[in-house]
Amino acid sequence: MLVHATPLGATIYTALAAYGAAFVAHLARRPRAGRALLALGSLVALGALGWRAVETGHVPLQNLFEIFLAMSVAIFPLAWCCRRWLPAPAEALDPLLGFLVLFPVGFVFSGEPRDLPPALQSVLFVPHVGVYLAAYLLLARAALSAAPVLWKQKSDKMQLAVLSSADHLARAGFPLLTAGLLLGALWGKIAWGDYWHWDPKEMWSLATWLLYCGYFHFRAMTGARYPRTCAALLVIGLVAIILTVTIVNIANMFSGMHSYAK
Amino acid sequence: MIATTKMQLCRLLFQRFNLALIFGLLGMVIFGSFLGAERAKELFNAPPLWPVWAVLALGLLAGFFVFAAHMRNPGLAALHAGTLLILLGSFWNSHAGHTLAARLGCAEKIPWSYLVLHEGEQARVVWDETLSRPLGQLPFDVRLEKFDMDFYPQRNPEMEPAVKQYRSAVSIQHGVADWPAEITVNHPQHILGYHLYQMSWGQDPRLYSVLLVASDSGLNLVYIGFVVLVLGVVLRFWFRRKNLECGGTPPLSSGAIPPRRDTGQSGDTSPHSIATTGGAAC
Repeated sequence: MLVHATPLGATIYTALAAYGAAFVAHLARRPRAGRALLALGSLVALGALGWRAVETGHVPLQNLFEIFLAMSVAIFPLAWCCRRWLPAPAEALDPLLGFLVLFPVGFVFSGEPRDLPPALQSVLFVPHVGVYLAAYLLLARAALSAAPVLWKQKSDKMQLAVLSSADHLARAGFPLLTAGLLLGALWGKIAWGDYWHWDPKEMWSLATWLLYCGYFHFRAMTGARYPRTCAALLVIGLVAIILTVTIVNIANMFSGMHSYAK
Repeated sequence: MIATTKMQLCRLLFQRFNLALIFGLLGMVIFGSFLGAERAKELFNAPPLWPVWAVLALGLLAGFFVFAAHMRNPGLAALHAGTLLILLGSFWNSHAGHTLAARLGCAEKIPWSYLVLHEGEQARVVWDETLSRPLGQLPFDVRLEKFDMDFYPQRNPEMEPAVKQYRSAVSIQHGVADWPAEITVNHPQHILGYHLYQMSWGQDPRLYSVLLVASDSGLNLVYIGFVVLVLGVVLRFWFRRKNLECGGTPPLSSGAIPPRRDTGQSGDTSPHSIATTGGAAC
């Protein structure tokens, strides 16, 4: 386990503590304190991201350290949007997601700054990574919301309400997932000559997209008859996202054109 | 009545077939990810898999007829049409598509090749990926005027400075026309149906640049497909009309609030049919 004994590391651990405290506040039924701590965590993480941008000299979205740090910043605005426009109850899940995303930044990923390779110097860099980050957070939130349906014995009404909320989140995230995939394809054409290289990262991104396509088709076909299957598909979707974002980048088995993002 | 039942059965079977197709493709894609890019490309372009792509394209097309009423929803129609356009454009852009186009009398193009140029050298012969087998000639000449690299300031004294950019200054000659161009990573040149990319470089001992030459056939169709697909998913998932689902299930319940029984359109008030789906694409 890594410990970043630097001012940047201290900022990250402060944000991590704020997210942890926000989660505890929600569990203790103090939603206002929970929201305030979530906002604080996000703000501190934003400071860390800005620090990182100055340190590296580019938009910090190059490797897993920077991508997860950026995701942790996006938690609060995303949680706010969800509360504003979507039925996304179980607010405790927002700081939990923030904590889970920021934890590997603090203790797992190397924070060594690196220069941007020529292939990443593109106007599509920020839009491609940015929409993917938002999509992953929404879909992760959908999976976390739906997961209790798998093991908790709830009434039909409660199960449907929980699943409907998760479904709203998945529907909010899917267009972003599609846009991320297609922006990546467009960028691949401009940088590498083809919009599809059959690279393991691309294949897993497509697999994730197909999985959500399958989920939406299944929902459209069966309605609410199989809430557990729907919840399971959303959770499997999250597993696919985790594999796509982390394992595929790190594992030598999947080495390819995206390996610089370790 | 019998006709209606038959149609419903047909829709049900079609939906199940589509679902099986999606999960079948998912399995294939996951399997392909373990093969590495080159072998996966070979596998997915292999003739035995052509029927799968054909069935997928036909399935997307058939959806417009089997679910005619649902496909009037602009988002749903666009996202399926976009996917179909991407498939068709990809076929047109593939080796098989180029072969078919040549047989149909279109200008013969080389789908994917490489151009190796030393500084001061001019060429139109392109090579395969091993740079040892000539594949044909381009309809224009390319002359490499200069190749150079930019470097980042050194971060770590123990490591070589990282490359910031590779740059090939070329001039293109087509008939009597001759114009200069610069090719860098992320800034290809589009010339007479081909895209030229900065791909690699070497020294033997003279410095040379390797340019990737990719045909643009079918590319516009793919790009239109991208736009239509994104518009479709945005319309469908962010601005969805409160209409019937594909499976004939009634509209969505309002999120965390338990579904209202008076919102069902079919008159069936069982929890299975009212509460529902988040819905989506067929």
